[in-house]
Amino acid sequence: MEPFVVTVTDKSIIHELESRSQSSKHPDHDSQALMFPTNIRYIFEDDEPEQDEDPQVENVIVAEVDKDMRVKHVELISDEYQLLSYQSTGENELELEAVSKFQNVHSQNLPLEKLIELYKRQNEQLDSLFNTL
Amino acid sequence: MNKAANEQLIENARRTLIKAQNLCQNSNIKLSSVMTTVSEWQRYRSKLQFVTECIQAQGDFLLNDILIKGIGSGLIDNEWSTVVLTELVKEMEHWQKILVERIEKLDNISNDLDNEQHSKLGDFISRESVRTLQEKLKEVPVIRKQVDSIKSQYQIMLRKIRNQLLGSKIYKLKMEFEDSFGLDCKDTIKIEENFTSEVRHMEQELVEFLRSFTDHFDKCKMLVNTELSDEDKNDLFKIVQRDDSELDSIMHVLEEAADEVISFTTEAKAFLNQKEEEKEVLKASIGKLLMELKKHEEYLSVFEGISNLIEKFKSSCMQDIQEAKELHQFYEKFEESYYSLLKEVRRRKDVASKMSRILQNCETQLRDLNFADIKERQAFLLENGNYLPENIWPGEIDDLSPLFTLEYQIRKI
Repeated sequence: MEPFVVTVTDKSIIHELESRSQSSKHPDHDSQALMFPTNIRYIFEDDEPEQDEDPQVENVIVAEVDKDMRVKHVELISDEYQLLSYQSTGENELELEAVSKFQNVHSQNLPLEKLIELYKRQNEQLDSLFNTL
Repeated sequence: MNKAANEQLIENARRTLIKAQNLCQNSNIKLSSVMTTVSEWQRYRSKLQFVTECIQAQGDFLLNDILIKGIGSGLIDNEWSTVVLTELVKEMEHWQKILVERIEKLDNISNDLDNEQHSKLGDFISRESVRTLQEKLKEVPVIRKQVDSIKSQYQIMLRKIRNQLLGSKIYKLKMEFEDSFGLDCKDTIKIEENFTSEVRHMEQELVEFLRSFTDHFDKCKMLVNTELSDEDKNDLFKIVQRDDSELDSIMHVLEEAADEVISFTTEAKAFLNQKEEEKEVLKASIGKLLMELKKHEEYLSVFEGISNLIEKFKSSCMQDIQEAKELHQFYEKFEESYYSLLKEVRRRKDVASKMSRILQNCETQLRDLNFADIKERQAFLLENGNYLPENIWPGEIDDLSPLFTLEYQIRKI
């Protein structure tokens, strides 16, 4: 069984602002938003339900796969992130798009156009979160 | 102590154990179903908290970053009122004034090269550029009016967002959330702490019951175990017999406990169901707020439209100012070049008069030479003319026309 590669991208607008403020933009400006979850555990149907909760684990991703390792369902259990969407590319890769809790933006003189764009993006994210309620 | 008595004890123990196992299993199913609902509720609660906090942050973003900072201080106070309507207008007026003065100056310099029309330098330039800036300045009051009207729209929106959206609706949502779903509210404590510990407690109790019934059953089975000494068997029989007499009453207590599980789980489920309704109410409030947040996108686009309009006006003004600056410099150079031209005219006049003097001089000398020549020729003819046949130098001997012709022209400057 090949190991799963799981990536989580935080679509929060905050990352865009941070990379903007840097004088020289990193070529991969998504990098600050990209996370690689560690501590992956494989749980099988017959396993005893695990009671011991690691208090250091703050975010849990539960991915259900079928016998062909096709991802059937993904759940993100976290107080800091919420799942927006996920995509499984088939080759044991699972890409999650999540959003972290909206923060104070402290915008540095962004043009109104950009501010409105960010505002709209957050409204869209709120909409997708609302649809999962 | 006989075999039949032992069998009776074992049978009784087995029956009771099976009954207890059934009771406990049913109770456990009920309890774990409550736990599943509780953990679903916890996740939902956490998501609600997340969304509620995001709505608050989005409201703050709208008020603080977009309205107060972006539109209020960034556009209205700074860009529109200061940069465009004050500084840019000042600069336009400055260049308009300077350009007009420059043109007036040209209008007052008469063209020395023109003695008939009495033209002025100002007659040679186009007045178009002065008019462009003038037209732009005429547009300023219109822009100012628009800024004033957008200012009052801004004030209305600011009040609306601050008082109604954040101060009332989002605040109410937060309170609604805190009252029914907050981490410290009594319902959350009831569900996440009381229910959970109650379930754990009941599960533990059931485990204890099962353990004691299993323990008794094991002891009964040991009675038929031949490895024990008769003395031990006797002791064990006494214990088992005593326990057997208590089986019914313990079973009764277990049944009571099972009834408690039923009444607890029924109550817990009913309570969680009731929370389900509150969830729907809160969800409806969130839905309404999201619609309102979306509606503000339209209002913001009004500001964006005005911003684009003023931006366009600004850049066209700056272009006109640039043109005015270039024209001003051009007119300055024109005046300088005009004076240079006057010098050039003088220089050319000097050259022409120099040339004319040379030629006059030359003409005088030639005329003197010619005068002397004619005299010489007359003397020659007087002395030799009668003796020379005409055809020895045909047409020339008695010709008295001058040896030179001089035609010249000096261009009038």
